[in-house]
Amino acid sequence: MASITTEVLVIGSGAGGAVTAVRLAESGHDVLVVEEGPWFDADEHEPFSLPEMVAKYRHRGAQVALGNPAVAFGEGRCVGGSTEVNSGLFHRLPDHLAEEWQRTYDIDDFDPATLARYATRVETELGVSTLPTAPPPSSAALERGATKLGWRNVEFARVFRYDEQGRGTKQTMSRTLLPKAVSAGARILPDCRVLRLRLHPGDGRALGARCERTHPDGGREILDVDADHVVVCAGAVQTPALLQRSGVRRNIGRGLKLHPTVKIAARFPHPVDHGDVPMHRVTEFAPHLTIGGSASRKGQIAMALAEATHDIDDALADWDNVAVYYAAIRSEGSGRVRAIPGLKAPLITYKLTDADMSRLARGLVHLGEVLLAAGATELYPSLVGGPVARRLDDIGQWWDRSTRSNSNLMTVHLTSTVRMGNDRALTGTDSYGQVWDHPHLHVNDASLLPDAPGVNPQAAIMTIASRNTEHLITSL
Amino acid sequence: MSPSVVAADRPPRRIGSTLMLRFEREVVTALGNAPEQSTRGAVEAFVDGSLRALPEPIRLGLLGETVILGTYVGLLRAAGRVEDTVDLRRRLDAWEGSRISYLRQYVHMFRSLVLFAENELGPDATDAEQEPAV
Repeated sequence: MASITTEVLVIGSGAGGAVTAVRLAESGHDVLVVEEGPWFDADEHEPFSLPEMVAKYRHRGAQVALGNPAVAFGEGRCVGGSTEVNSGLFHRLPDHLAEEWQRTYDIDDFDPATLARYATRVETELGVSTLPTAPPPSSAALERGATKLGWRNVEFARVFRYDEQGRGTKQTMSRTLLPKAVSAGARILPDCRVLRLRLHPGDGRALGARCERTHPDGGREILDVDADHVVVCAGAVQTPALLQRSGVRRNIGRGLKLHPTVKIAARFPHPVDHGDVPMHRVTEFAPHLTIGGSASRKGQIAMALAEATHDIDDALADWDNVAVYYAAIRSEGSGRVRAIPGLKAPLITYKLTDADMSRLARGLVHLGEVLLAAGATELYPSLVGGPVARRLDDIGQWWDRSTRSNSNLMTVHLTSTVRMGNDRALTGTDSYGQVWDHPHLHVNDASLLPDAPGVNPQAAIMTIASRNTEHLITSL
Repeated sequence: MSPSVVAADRPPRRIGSTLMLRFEREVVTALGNAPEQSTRGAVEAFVDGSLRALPEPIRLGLLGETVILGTYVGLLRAAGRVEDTVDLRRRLDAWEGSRISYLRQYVHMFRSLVLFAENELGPDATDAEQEPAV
């Protein structure tokens, strides 16, 4: 059996893993990053296209948290993780949430000022900015509609850098922190799935991991990694699944949180753009409800139209004028990730509360209002049987139609399956991601967030990962 | 950068990688709208690949539903109540509005995969890309 030795093994190369790797490597530590997915050139696939979905998403993007209703979701599975496939929105953790989480979970060094210091460093490294030019039509529509209604709205900053012509490039981990980590001496091993962690049978400390490596010819081989420290950064689904497969179960996998999302395909009397995701957000009802825009290639538009009706030919023929928008809520419900012996993929469940369903209905109605105010002429909601709305009166019917059996929900933000903090009854790790009762075993990704933040969590994940890694370095 | 790996183990058995069943292929055909044979073939290949890629718990549940629904449709065929693809599509449309969430989600999942593939792989697709061999 082949083996490899490293000081720190980082499992996963997304927002959490990349920050962990670069901080450790630049501090002079020996780092090996193993990533289950392949390593692609960042420009190899067109964003949100079918080839990208096949290549870079786990299960080709077809994952589901079972429940009534079920919630579809996707997550990245490639070097750079979900930062390679998301919209790049970068929103700092709101101060009030940091304070609330610090209080509830007794988290050390989690005050807004401390977090702001780490956030600033990450933002400087990545390049977080707003558009240098006027917003594209799909984004301007949100701004226009919200302004007309007197609702707060804002252009969210994104991890984008722009050239002199205003062309933006998303600053994914494969473009930014991972190359820096490699320059500082880190090794990255793609196509390498961790089967289980290796833990000391006596004191439970981490010794490394057993992996399965896939070669370009499809052959698979077992690889043992010996490590002084192991940092698991595989995301809010894969991290708890891996810990459970390895026998670590205390407060692991419970309390899954996500942002349930409803959608509308909106038809305008003018063309809208389809190559990017709108960067404006309606924040009038934040943090409990946020309105924004989604990927709107022809395939996504077809799916969104068909949520409401099977009679989509006319609207689909006019797809140049159609874009997809969403309303996402902070949910009171929660879910669970369970590893099942013999299966590679865990079972994921999520239970929405009645209040969640009510909030989603409200979100759909507000989304419809803002899109009509923006000039949309037809709205196709993600409700079985619609109805398609053409004026405000039509939208009122959505209240009654927004039932558990009629709602098609999705999400892209999953968190909170291995919460951090000093309260052992509520958490799976200490304040810095050290797994309870397992020395030298750490978690450093979305799993640690005590709750879903109500906004894209990438900034919060990277900020917390940066903070935790700095703490880890002091103990090495 | 890569470590030398010398030992080869047999790949683990994949429970969720079963081929698309006959009834699933019929569902894909019934939900499809593409007139071109090449697009229909590409769509079927995409759906087949997507089913293989599903998480095992989801794929196993789907297989169970396929067996039950396929048997039911077989009985309807024997009774002369489903005679062709148009009849099956009508039946699928009705199931998608069902109060039984698993029935509704079954059709919804297939319809989403077919629609996405037809509109990303067809001749009028955004950029006429073909599915890569990944």
